[in-house]
Amino acid sequence: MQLLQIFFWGVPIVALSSYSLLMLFFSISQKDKFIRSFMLVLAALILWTASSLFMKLQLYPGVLFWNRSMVTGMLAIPFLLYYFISMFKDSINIFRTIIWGALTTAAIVVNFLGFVVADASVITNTVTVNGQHFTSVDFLYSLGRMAIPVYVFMFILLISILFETRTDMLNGNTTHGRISLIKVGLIIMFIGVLTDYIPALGKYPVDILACFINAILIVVAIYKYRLMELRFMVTKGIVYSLFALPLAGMYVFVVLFVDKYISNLYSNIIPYITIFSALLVAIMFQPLYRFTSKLVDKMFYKAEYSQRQALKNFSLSISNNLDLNDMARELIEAVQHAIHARQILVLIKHKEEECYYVYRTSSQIYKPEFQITFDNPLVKWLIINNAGLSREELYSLPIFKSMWEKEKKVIYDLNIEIIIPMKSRNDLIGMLMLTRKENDNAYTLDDLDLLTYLGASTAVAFDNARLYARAQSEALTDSLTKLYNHRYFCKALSEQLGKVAELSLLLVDLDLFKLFNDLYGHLEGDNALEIVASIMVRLVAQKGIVCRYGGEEFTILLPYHDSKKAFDLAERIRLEIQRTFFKMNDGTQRFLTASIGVCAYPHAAPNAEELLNRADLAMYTAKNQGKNQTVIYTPRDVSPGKLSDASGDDITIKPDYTATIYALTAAIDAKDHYTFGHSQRVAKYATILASALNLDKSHVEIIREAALLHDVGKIGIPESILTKTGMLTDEESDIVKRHVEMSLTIIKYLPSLTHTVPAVFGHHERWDGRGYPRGIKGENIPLTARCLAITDAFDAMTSDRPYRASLSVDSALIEIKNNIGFQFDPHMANIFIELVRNSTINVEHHQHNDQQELVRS
Amino acid sequence: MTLDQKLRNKQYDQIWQEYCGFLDLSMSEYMEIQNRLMLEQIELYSNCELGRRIMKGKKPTTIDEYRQVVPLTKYEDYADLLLQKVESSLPSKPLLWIETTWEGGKNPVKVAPYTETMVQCHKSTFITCMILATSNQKGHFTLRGGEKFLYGMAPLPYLTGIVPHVISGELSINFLPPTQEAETMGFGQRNKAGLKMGMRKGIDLFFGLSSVIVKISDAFASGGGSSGRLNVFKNSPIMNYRLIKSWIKSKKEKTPIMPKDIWTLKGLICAGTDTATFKKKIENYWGVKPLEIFGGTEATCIATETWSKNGLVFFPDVCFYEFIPKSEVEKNIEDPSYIPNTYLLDEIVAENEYELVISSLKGGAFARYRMGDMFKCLSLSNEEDGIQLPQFAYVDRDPRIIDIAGFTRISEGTISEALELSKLDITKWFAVKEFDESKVAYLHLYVEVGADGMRGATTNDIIKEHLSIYFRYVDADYKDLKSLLGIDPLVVSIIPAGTISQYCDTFGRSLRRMNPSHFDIIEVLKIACGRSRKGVS
Repeated sequence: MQLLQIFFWGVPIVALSSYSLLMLFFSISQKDKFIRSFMLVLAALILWTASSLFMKLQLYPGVLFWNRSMVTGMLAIPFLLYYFISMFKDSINIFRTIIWGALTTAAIVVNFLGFVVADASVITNTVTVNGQHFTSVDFLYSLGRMAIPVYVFMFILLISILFETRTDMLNGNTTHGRISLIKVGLIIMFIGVLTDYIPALGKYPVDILACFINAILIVVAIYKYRLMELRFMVTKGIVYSLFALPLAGMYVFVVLFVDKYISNLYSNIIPYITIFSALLVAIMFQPLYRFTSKLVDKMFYKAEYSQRQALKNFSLSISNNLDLNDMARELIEAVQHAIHARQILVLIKHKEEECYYVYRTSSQIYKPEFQITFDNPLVKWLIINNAGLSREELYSLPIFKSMWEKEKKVIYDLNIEIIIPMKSRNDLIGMLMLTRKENDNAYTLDDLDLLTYLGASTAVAFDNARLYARAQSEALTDSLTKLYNHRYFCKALSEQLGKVAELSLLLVDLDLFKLFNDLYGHLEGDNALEIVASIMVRLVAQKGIVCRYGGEEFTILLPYHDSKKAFDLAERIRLEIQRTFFKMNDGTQRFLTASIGVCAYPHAAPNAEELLNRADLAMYTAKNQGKNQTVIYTPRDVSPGKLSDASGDDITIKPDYTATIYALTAAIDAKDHYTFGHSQRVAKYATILASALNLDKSHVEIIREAALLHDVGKIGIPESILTKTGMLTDEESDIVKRHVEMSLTIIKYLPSLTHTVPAVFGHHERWDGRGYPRGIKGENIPLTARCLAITDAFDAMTSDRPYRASLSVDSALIEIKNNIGFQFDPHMANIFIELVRNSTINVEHHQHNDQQELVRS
Repeated sequence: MTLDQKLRNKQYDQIWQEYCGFLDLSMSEYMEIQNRLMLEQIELYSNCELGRRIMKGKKPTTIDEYRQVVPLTKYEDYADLLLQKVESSLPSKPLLWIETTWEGGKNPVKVAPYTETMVQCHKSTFITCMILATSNQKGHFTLRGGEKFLYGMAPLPYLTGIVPHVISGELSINFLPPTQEAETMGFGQRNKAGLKMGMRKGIDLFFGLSSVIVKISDAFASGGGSSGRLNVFKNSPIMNYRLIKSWIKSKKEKTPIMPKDIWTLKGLICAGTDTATFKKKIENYWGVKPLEIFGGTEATCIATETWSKNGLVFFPDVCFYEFIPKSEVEKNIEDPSYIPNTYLLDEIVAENEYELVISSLKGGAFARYRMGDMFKCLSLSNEEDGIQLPQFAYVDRDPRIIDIAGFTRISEGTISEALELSKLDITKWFAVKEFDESKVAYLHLYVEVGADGMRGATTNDIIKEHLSIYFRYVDADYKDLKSLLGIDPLVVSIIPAGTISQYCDTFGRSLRRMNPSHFDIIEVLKIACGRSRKGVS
């Protein structure tokens, strides 16, 4: 009995509220022909349901009026449904519409004239069971003469709608999916209305329930097949309000209940209790409110919810990123999370190549290699429209008729469905390509909006990252040759040495480039540098890193290359440079060649610095041997026994600057005979030490030359100081120390001897950094200088000086040993001591009678 | 999605956009499509033997360079490779070879390779024509799929034979007669059978040569509304109803039964020389304004009228178009060594006549190929329809060819050969295409008979009879004129001996043998009248 009561009242109330809400939604939304026609159906349903409810409530003006009003709604529905379905199918038959409309109007008029329902009254029955009174209300109708024809017409109309939808389906004018829900709804409604004629069911609102179900199914059909963008119409506020209403009801109910219950117990503290309980309930309702809010987000805005989450996460992460690769990955992840496309491709603009290329894809292993050139109409369209482009549009818009077949094929083969522009500051910096969705559903307007937003926001971030990357690249790139610069080379060299087991370095220096510049001008010189750079880039390709070291010097790092392979490549480069410039015949007969030094790590150099130094030495050797050649730095692997031979036979000063060196040493001799002999001896010792250190021939030769010249600066020191027998004053000592700079001043005017500068300039540096002139220490002191430092000191100690007598060899060696790690390179000093002890070095004594001092050597 | 599916989903706007959207292009957008596709073709040319030969081993990087490098070509320039179907020498692999007669050529036929893309493009352009044929307003058309299509055109290997084969996957069309049956029939038989089936089932669309449509319509009207023996039991009730209705109307008004009384066509497509002269008649017979289209074996279907059916528009993506002004064509006829200038679509002026030069796109074979067809540019745009592209009318073949009703193309070589074979003593001659009162075209041959001929009392009829026999022999299509259209295309006039020589002496120039200018003919006839009391006989 109770359940029946709920059904009796509940169904019309729920149906009426739902219809009213729907009506509200539609009335505040943007209306089109679908919405308008469906609103008419809703109006009829409201009339039917409201009249039924008012009749049951026996409201004024009376049962008969509400009954006729209810029948009016009922009669209008079939026709209005017919009209709505015609709109739904987009095919309206004007003739039939007029006929059905006229007949429906006639039926309504007949109804109001009392020919359908002649009379309606209420009978109230009260039954007493076990002392309890139960009241039931029954309605009595007496039908008019036209009742049967009118109902028959109504059923005919309903049946004709059913038949028409079936015919449409069979003819293929509409798909089963689109119409099936509406068809089911109509059948339910038809059955519901039929129950009015079954007395046992007729007294319950089965017809209203059926109509309600029908309305719900229509709404679902509209939503599902996107006839109306319901989500755009039903604003979030309305949905929240809808949920807020029962929540508020519950809240009031709980507060009132608590209030009522407690007031019975503690009537004197009611106000406090009421406030307290209201607060308590409000706090307790907070989680429920949040849950409801989330529920609304997740259920009603389900797709949008995940999209918004993806957007939120993406926006957060992209704003803190300047790495293009990371951003592309995050963009793909965000799109994948929100859209679930099978494949996502990010294409980035390549300004130099004038194309867009595939930068990253959603697949770990699959990255199609294709490019979209700047003149592709697709690019133009995306720039102008700044909107997503669908596959359908690609095939249908006439502008795309100009696409080349291979351009179309790429899109076709990859099954690209959507292309989204990534536009920043009027520049299309990239594009996003998506294939079909995983569930094969079509892309919706929401998807397109989201993707367009993602594309636009990513474009700005990408652009910034690109500018940053460009700035970074420019900082490491030589602006003229577009090669990496010195800075990058240093970084790359240390990185590569830590990474690879074997590496070769080529040091390429253009021969007589200054002369080339002087002859043809700096513009042509720059042009030549660019040509040389392009030759090297082309020939080295992916095998190594080409850098402009400075001026006309280039370095090439070749990981995994031994000296042989490196030499081969160097020769190819050298010959190509020679061939290219020899071929250039614009009447000036230009000729440009290169000398290349090759050094391999770890075979010929133990560390980065030595690698560079030795490659440099090899390059100088190439220069000295006549230029336009490649020289490998080859460490000498000789036994101690052979060293003396090497020092005697192999090490000879090159004739072209022999005279210069001898002229200089003669000048020293003339000024200070002692120093002349000293230089000769130091040269002898240093040459043997250098050979024992496995330095290559050219390296040894440089040390020999440096040894001969290391004190050349003493020419500029007053004789009185040089030959002073007593202790030098601080001022005099400073003057003596200045001979190093003076040596440099003299040598720098002799280009052919500039390679001796590091040794000469550094031979008074100390291992512990307390030397002069620069105070550098450890391996920062050039190897040649360290070599000279030991031999120079040894000879000074074992020679008589104006201010002291010579030390014995043993004493000198002990002195050297004591200064290992302080004044001398430990490794080199130990080798030297060993060389003296095993007589590889024959010590020559130069007699003089003076005091002992190590420093004034 | 196929066109059928789109029609079922009522995506009419999208369909219009896809097929007829090019009519909304601006001139610059149109030229951009032309230029870009031509650059693609240059790329394809540069990778094949034919292309290298045509482009003289160069690879032009711009359209201007291409036009400078490549000379204007004729079929002879391609014949050695195309007639032997040397696929490896072509820009793209052909899907099929289309054939046509080679009037005055070294071979009875000439063939053209069609790549898959070209075939797809042809399908698309023909669907566009069908849509436009069923349209009388921008964006509105009545093509819905499932139409009964009276297709009175030649089957494969002719160009018109492609459509029934390729369209089926895109759009359901009931061809009358069905394609397979039609391919076994002759031209006349096919048209008759189609019409007969149309009587039973109805006709929605009709495509035919204008001259043939008129001939069929004439026969239909004079035959009392029947295209043969009727069997009312085989007809659909609605067709019987229409037949009876039109029969009663005819009896009542004492007018012949017209095709439009029986069929309500959605659209009618026509093509062929002299279409302009037939269009009004066709509309009267069938009740719909016919849509004229233009195409050729070497070019495929390249132009169509639009919904207002009053001017041809060239498709932007089928061929690259250049135009030789008529004055340049004339200069070139006078002096074959003269290289005429060509102009692009955005360079031409209205009210002038031009010879069309096409370069194939999408891997086709022909580069700067002289089609030999003359067009008149009616206007540079159609303001009324909102079309910003030039509107053209097909004029005729170039003056060196006389085309009668789109069936036969008679060249100077054809006539010379026929005259030689006939052994008639004709010393000098010239030929002109003229029209009779019913606007039916014919070949008017003016001849000078030599002394032997005069002695033998050679008359016009004798010459005509002789020549007709040999024309049938040297030109296979010539005989169809009589048998299918009932046209007697030859009129012979004898002018006094020495007339042409006197003309040359008087005016100091030679007289063109094919289609000399109207004023030259007047001068010749004046001289002829002066030389003989009989004048021209």
